[in-house]
Amino acid sequence: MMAARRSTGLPRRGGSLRPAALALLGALAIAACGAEEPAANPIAPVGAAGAGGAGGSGGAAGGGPDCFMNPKTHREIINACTNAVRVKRTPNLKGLNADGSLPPPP
Amino acid sequence: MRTFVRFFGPLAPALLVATAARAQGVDPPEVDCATLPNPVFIEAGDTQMRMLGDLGRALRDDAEPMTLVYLPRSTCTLAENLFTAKRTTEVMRYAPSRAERPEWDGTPLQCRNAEGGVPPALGVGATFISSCSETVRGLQPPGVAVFRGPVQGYGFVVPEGVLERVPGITREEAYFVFSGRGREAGALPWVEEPAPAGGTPTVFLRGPTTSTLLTVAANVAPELLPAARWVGFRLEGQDDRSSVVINGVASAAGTPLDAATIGILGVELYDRERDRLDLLAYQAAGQRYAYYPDSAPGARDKRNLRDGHYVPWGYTEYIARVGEDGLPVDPKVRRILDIVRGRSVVRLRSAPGAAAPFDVDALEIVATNGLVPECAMGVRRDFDGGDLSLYEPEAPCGCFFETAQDPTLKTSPPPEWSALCPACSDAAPCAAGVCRRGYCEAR
Repeated sequence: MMAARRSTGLPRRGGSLRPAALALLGALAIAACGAEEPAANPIAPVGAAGAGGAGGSGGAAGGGPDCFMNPKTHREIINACTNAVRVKRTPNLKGLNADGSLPPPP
Repeated sequence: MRTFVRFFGPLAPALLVATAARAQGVDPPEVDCATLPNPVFIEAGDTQMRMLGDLGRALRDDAEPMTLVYLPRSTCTLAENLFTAKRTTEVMRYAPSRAERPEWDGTPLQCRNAEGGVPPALGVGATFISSCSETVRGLQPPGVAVFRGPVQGYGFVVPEGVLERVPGITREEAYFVFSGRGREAGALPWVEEPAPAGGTPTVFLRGPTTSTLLTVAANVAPELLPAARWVGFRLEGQDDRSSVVINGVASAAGTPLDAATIGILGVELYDRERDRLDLLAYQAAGQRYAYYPDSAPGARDKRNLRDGHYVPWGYTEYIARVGEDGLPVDPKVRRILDIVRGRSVVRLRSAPGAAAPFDVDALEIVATNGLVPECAMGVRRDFDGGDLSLYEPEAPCGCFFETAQDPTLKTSPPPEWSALCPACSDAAPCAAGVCRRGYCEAR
C-alpha cells in the first residue's frame, strides 16, 4: 500500500528568489492551499469479488453527510465513502456569485 | 520559431533544445509503409502514441504478424478524416520488430507514405467524438461506426515538487485560471499572466480540436467556458502537441514561476513524466473533496478514476468502416478492437522458434499504458462531462488491471489485497466469483 504524501510546507529552492516571488510564496503560506487526508485502510479494487463497501464516516453534523456508503446517483458517486487520499481545498476566491456559483465570463 | 521565442522568452532556448532532442531520436524513413508486413493505417490522438507503439511491437512479432502504421492527429480532425475518407499523406510511424531492433526504447521508426497517401482504416479519438463540432459530427456517413474503447483520464499538471505546496485545484479555481482571470479572482498560486507577449507562459493548453482540452473543459464549466474560450499558451496545427505542455510546465520547476505554472495533460502521459511533473487532485462541481486519479499521489491504480471520484475522463473512441453486421469490415481493425476492449482474453504469442519468445495478455499492453479498459471501470457516462452512473462490466478485470499497474501484486500481494482479489487457476478455483486472468472477479 502506497503511503500518502503529507503537506510539508514551502520547500526552500536553490538560488536566490526575487522579492515578488518571496511575496508569492508567503501568500501561499497564508492561503487555504488544501491538505491531504491519508488513506487509512486497504482499498477494495473496483469490481473485485471480495469487495464490500469502503469504510468511512457516514453522516456529519450540518451540511449533509460527509460521504455516501451506497452511492446511486452522480452526486453520491462522486462523494462516495472511500479510503483513497482526498484533498480538502478551500480557496478564497473573489467574484463568485452570492450562492457560490460561477459568474458568467466577461 | 519567432512565435515560439516570443512566447517562451527566457525559457525558449531550453524548450527548443528539449523539443529538438526528442525530434532527433526519430530516424528518417527508410522504407515504404505499404511494404511493411500486413499494415493497418491509423490516425490517433497523440495521447495514444505510446500504446500503439507497444501494441505494434507485440503484433509485429506475433504468430499472426501485423504492422500498426500510425501518426498523431487531433481527435476532431481525425474524425473528420475518417468520416470523409481523406487520405493520410504524411510520413507515418511504426514499431520495429525484434529482428529489426532487439532492444527498443519505444521510439517508433518512420516510413514513407504512398504517393497520394492512403485512406486510414482506423481512427482512434482520445475522447468522445460527440464533443467535436456539429459540422464534424454531421459528416459521419452510414457505414462508418464509432466504437467505445478504453478510458483516458486527463488532468492539471504542475512542475515536479509543487504538489507539496499545492495539492489540488477546484472546479471554480480552474474556471477563473483558464479564462484568464486567475489574478482577478485571487486564485492563488495561479495569478500570473497566462501567456504574456514576449514573456514566459504560465498556463499551457492544447487546441479546441484536441481531446485533452475538450474533455478537461467539459468537466470544468462547459456552458460558461467552452473549450474554444480557454486562455493560455498553445501552438497551432501539427505543432500542437502534448510535449509542448510537458516541456513548458516541467521547465518552470525551481524557477520563481514554478507554483504559478499549470497545464492540461493526458493522465497516461503524466504517468511517464512523474519525475518532471506533478498532477493535481481535482474537485469537480458538487464534490466535497478533490481526488487524484489514483488512490494516492504515488499510486498507479487509477482507482479514483475507475470508481467515479476522479471526474475528468472520457472513452477513447475507435472509428472504422463497418459492414451490415455493424462490425469492422477490415479483420485487422476487428482484431485491434478485440484487444483494446478486453471483453475476451486475447493473447499475443511469438511465432514458433522466435529468438525472444513471448506470450502476453494483450490487455496488459493497454493497461500498462495508463488506459483503463471498460472491464476495470465501475462507472460510466454518455458524453464528455456527463453525469456518472454505476457500471457493472459483464466480465470485470479490476484485479488484473491492478496487477498490470503494480506487478508486485502478482508476486507478493498484501494479504488484504489477496483477500479481495484471490488468485485462482484450474487447479485452484474461486470460492466466489469467476476466475478470469488469474484472479477471482465478481462475475
